[in-house]
Amino acid sequence: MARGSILALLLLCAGCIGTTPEEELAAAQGDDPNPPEGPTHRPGQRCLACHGEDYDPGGEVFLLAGTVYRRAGDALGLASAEVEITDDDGEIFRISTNRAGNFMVSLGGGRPYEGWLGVASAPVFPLQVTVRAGGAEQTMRNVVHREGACAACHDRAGKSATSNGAVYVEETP
Amino acid sequence: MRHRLAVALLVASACGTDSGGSQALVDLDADGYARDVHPILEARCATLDCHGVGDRPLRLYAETGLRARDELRDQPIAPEELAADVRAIEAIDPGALPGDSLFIAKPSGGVFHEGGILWVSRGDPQLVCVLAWLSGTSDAEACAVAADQVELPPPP
Repeated sequence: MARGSILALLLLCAGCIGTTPEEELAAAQGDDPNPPEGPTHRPGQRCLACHGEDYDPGGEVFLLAGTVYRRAGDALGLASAEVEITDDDGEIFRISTNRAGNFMVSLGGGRPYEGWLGVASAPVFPLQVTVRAGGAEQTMRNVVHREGACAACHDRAGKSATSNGAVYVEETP
Repeated sequence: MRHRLAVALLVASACGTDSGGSQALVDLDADGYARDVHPILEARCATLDCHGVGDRPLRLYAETGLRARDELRDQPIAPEELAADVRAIEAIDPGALPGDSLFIAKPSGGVFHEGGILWVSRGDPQLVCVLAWLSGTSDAEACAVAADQVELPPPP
């Protein structure tokens, strides 16, 4: 009886524990044992799940990173979109997305690949963000207070109670 | 030891805010929240990366943040969401006086707040507006200034 109660309690506790970075990584990778690597991989996923300050099996820590799409429902990211980030000190950072639509910001230099911006010091939150391409432009109505990965609040799967949908530059007609 | 305790108490009192009223945080006015306070909290607190997260002790809904249901995305804030916000605020530090509550102490620097200090001055119109609401009154002048400060652009 006591053993059964303890088992039930453990199961209940397990249900309360959040997702670990390792679990999130495994879920994002799906069944692929050898996921692609490089700055064009995993567009639309939560970049800082594997490139964050606390957990970086990718070996590259980003301060900010995400994927831009032309329209909200697009399957592929948008190349050469401009991401403009204005931090709380008024400093403006501009990055151009790579061919997968990805962009990433990290401290320091030495990573001359498309979609990457090196900065001498971290942008100061809160951040205002605008994306633009081909004469179209979208500005976030609210600010980013602390999250560095766009996909944490902008799920490419679409809008929901916990997501404002993918980051896009053009309204869907 | 007694000296250290006295210093700690002095520091704590210097960091605190005026208690802002004598009523504990119960039965807060939902209309006043919707009109005066929610716009402040939406802009300063309720984004999806802060208090717009479902399992936060102080969980707040907002048009640009967390919604109570998927269908509400891109809709104006709903009465059920505003009511839930008020309940969440009442529950965060039940029994506390307005100015002493964690709801005020954390964003004004009295207690560590992961999101930083939002209101440095006790005269900050946003703080004055929120404190008035918590105290069961209203400060129209402070709330008007605060509303201008936190106004979000309209939806596209």
